[in-house]
Amino acid sequence: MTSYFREPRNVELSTLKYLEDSFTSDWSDITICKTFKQVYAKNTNIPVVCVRLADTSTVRLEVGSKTLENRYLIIIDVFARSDAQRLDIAGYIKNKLKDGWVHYDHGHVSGDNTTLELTANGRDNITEFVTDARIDFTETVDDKDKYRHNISVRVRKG
Amino acid sequence: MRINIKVVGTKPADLEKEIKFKFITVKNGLKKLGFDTALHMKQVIQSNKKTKSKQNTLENAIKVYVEETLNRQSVGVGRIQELDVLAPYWAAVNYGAHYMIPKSGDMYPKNAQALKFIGKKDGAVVYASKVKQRVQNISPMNYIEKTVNWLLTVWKVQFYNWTSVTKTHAR
Repeated sequence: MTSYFREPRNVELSTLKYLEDSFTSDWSDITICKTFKQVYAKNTNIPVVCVRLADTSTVRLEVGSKTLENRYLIIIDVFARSDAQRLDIAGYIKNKLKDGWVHYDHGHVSGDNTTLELTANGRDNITEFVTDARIDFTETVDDKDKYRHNISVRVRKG
Repeated sequence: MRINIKVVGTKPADLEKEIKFKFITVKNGLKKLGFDTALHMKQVIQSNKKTKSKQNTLENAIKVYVEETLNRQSVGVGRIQELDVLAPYWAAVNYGAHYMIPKSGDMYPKNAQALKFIGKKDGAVVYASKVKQRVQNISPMNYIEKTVNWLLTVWKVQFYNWTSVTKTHAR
């Protein structure tokens, strides 16, 4: 029997998988990760794209119903090698995200914690683009932080 | 998609009254939303803070600005120029960065001059400071994006409430 993850985790992992698959087929030498610890690890080389679910905003969907309407805030940080590469990667990501992507229910088969089982279950769609901007620390920073870009979107599971 | 609002069967004088009332409601609502947004942003920072210092430098630097002209009203939360001076770490705390930070005490120095760039160590920026420092990865707090996420939800909810309140008043 498979024990499935909850929706927020599935949204994050589905987004990560979608971008990972897209970058693997269209780009080379780009690392996709989920945490800043991985980004700043000594053996991680830029360019890096860090994808994570940062926040969930919830309201009731309708009167008399207990269904919740969730909006997931997905934040994508780009750590590029140059300003031009930063713009290219950011543009590529935005273009990929605009059409939505397949939502997978992720889970572990009982007794096996190492393998993920994926079952397609609807689509994740962007409802709002929140930010899409260069991060300028205005002072001399670490090489990995020199050409940073931040994209954040609100996602709804459809 | 086009959304049209049409008023049928209302006297011009009544319509004028209603428009004036709505305008005042929107103006006050916008101001309230601005202050609520700043409060929420401060709460996000407070709840995500790792070092619980007594000086809330970053929170105190987030202020609300209400601007009004003849045909426009806007409310701003947190001015970058001010944040750069009062809490120069605001960007690093929001977006995350690889920094040298004080070994103990307040994570957010009072002003930018407190830290002076002197070089690099282990790939991180090193600053001259009176307090001992260590290299640290500052995890992104994303208090700005989290506040926008909240605002986008709350604004819609408040707008719906405002519509129903106006309808009640018109009766």
